[in-house]
Amino acid sequence: MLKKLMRALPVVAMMSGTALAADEYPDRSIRFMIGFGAGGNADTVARLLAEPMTKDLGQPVVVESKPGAGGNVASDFVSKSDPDGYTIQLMVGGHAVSAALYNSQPFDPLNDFTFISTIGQFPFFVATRAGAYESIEDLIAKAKAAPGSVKIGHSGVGSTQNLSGELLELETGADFLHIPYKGGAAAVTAMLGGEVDVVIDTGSILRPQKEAGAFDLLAVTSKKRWIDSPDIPSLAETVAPTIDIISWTGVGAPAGLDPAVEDKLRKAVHAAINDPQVTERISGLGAWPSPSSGQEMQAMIDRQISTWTKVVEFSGIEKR
Amino acid sequence: MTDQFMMGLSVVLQPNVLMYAFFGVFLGQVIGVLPGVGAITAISLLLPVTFYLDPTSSVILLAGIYYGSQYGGAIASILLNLPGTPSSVVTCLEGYPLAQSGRAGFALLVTALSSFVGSMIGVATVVLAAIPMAALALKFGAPEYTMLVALGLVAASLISSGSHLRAFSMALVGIALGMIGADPNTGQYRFVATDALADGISLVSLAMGLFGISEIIRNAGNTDTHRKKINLSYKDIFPNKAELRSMITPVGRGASIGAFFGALPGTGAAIASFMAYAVERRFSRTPEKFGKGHLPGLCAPEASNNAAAQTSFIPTLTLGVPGDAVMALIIGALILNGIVPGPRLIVDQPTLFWGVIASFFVGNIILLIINIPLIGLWIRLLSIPYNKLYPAIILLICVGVYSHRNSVTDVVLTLVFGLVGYVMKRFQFEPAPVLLGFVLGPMLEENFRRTMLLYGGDFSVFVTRPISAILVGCGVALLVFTLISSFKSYRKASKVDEENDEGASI
Amino acid sequence: MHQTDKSDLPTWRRIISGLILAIVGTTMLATSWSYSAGSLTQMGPGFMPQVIAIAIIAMGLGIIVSDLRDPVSRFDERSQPLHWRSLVFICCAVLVFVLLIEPAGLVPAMFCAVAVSMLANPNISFVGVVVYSAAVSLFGWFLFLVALGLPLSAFGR
Repeated sequence: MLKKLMRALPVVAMMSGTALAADEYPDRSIRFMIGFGAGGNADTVARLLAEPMTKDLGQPVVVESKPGAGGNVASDFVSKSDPDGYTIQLMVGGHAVSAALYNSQPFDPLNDFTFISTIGQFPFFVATRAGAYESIEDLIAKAKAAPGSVKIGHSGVGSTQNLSGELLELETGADFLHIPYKGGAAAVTAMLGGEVDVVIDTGSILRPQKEAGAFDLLAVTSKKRWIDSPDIPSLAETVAPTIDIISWTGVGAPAGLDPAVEDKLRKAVHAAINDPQVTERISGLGAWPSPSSGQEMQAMIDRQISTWTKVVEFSGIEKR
Repeated sequence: MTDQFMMGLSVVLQPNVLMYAFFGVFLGQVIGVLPGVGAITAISLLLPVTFYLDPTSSVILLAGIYYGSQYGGAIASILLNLPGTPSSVVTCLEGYPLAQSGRAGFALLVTALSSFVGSMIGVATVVLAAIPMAALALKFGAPEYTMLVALGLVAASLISSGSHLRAFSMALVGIALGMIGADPNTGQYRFVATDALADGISLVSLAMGLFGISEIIRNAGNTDTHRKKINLSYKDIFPNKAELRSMITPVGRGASIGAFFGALPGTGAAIASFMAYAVERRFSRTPEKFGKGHLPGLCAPEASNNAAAQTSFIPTLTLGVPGDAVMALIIGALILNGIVPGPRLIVDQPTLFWGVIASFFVGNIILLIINIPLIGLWIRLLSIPYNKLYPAIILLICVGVYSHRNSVTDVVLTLVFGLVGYVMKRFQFEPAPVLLGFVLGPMLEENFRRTMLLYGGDFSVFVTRPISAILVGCGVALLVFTLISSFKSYRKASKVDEENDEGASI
Repeated sequence: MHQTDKSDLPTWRRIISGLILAIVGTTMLATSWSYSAGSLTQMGPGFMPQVIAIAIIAMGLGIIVSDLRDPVSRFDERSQPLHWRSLVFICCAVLVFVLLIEPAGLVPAMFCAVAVSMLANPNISFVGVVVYSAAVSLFGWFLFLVALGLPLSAFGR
């Protein structure tokens, strides 16, 4: 009740437009599953979308968390739910990573899902302490000159950040010492304290440190320079021509969704992403708002699964 | 510094901002009372609301929930032996016995006062020393954390009222339980008997089981429906002068420990309250009184965890790096409001920075004011006969644990730990060290392995790095001191036994 | 001091707590044996579990020794009867909650769990159980769903 009250205070102004009368499809609440605990990026994005989608569909979109095994618990749950449009899932880049990392997933990462749309896409940045290296070329040269001396702090074995570091190693032939931390913030803290030399992570985590003059951002992992930071070269144009890592968030549902329902959902997701406030907040999280079609999303996941499978094999990370 | 703080104060005292501070701490307090429904649940439920607020109000609201829940957490621990967080585990140790002996109101008041003083010392630390504290925190690398955690575990053997051997073995069992799930360094699964264990045991299940369920099993069959009458008179609830005086040093010590540990990202409040408790016990002239409702053992950890709750904002606000999930959420709220938290926050957003810090000050005063009248209400809970109370406690535990991560396995595990806790108690094993080992074990392993990885398996880093060397020194001193004193008490005990035996044989 | 003499407790009851601990340690060691221990620099997932398991075994043995030598003092609660009635009904109550929460929803799960848990106390009447369980469920529904707005469903799923 308190929560409702609190919500009502500032929201009154927003309530001017009443929701459209629903057709038959959403006649009850929709569960929006996330595979991670409350408080993560995924949780935030899901809640960002849930508000405008609720208004659009006229039924509450309720964010529900089923954390576990890098999101696999939630994916398994969704893949086995009824394809009626009342259970949807917030997917993240980890969906493709898991497919490469886990020995046996209880679901098919491509064929057991209906892909609705991507929400936002974001690259990773290669950061070092300010002034430690002149450029990305300098970093790679020094890493090659003294194998195992340059330490990359990453946010956990099997994270996209970790695999990006491994891919950089694979593509350039440099030899890094990979040090695992619990989450990107811990790795950033370690680099601030001088324990590691390189951190590869998202802009939302690294940019504040760059703005404060603590870190340099040497390169970006997307193929081309990223839209909001044209002064940072890409890895592809400098040291590793084939690297193109873009992570993402998206919406999925169980396979076999009625096309009309799928369409309705996609429209709602796109409308939510295009809501100027949501757009602004997705950008705030360091991602580029990118509504897409289902095929585009599926093709991207397919590509990424094969990249990560290659990296996992190379790096010798044991499958789970 | 004071000018800026005053400026912050003027921000908070605007009626609408004050209202959010009030709602935050009030909601936090309520949420904190419910075991299992923690600050994280409350904050993430309220996150969308903050989209419509200005950034300062958002953070004031969310931060209020966080430190408000620290106040609330003590209430369920004292009244019902239900700890929802590691820090309230320590509160159970002295608070619950006090409540059992009919002094629940007194325990709650002492807790509120200690929490308030602890918080204020924490706030003062943030105001006066945020920047140097943050710089100190950055000096803590993997070797320092390893030794810090090891020190905490040595302290664990001092926590139990029984034998050190039993206490230490329980800390080891806690470490073992903490290993269930994915290995932090390789991601390999360990002791994962079923898929549901892949993410490990939740602390809430473990604490609710070992403390809550096992206590219910012991008492549910109690046919005595007449509950002790509750004392609500001023004299019974308020500490007398001597008691107040005896609180000063423990509260001061506890708050200092808490203020220091809180500033270390990730370690924070959990270690702080255990350490404060261990220190009180170690330096007490009457260590035998601990575990039976001893005042210093209650107020020092409470002061400590509340001081830590305040100083844990230091790394978040000054460096932009969140120390735990709650701080990550608060940073998330800032980002969503278009403010990028980081080292420049204090320069770029002084109103926000000082406004938030001033809100801690105001929020804690509000908490104290709403807490004291509530004591009367809370202790009425205990006037309900136990046979009516325990079904409701079972319900709180089940729903609390389940809602924590929507997992039925967690509820089953809670029951299993309840049974384990019941058996342990019969064999004179204390549950508190299990919790400590469970919280600290993963940190110990993570940091020890990281140290070895970073320094090529060289153990000398532990003594060549100054902070680490100091910690090693403290640990060794504590260990030697404990060994000597337990040897002495063993000699004394065996002497007494011999005398008794002689007495019996005559 | 209690008049429980050493001879009151058979040896097996005196060593059982340490023995259980040692068995727990051994099981842990056996399980973790298959995990790679790695080297000191590159520790594998098995390193710490094996160390801790051995320490637990050692503690278990130490406790056996101390319990055999140490006289009466810590055997008080052990000689009391088990709380069978509570054990059975509290377990059932939690399990009922677990079985009902997902298929049936929060309110039925709360009602049944409270009702079963009340059976742990011998002083009950059928009407009392039903009325009180309903009251507590109503309170739970108000607290968790109305006031806190937890994302749980009241009935069914």
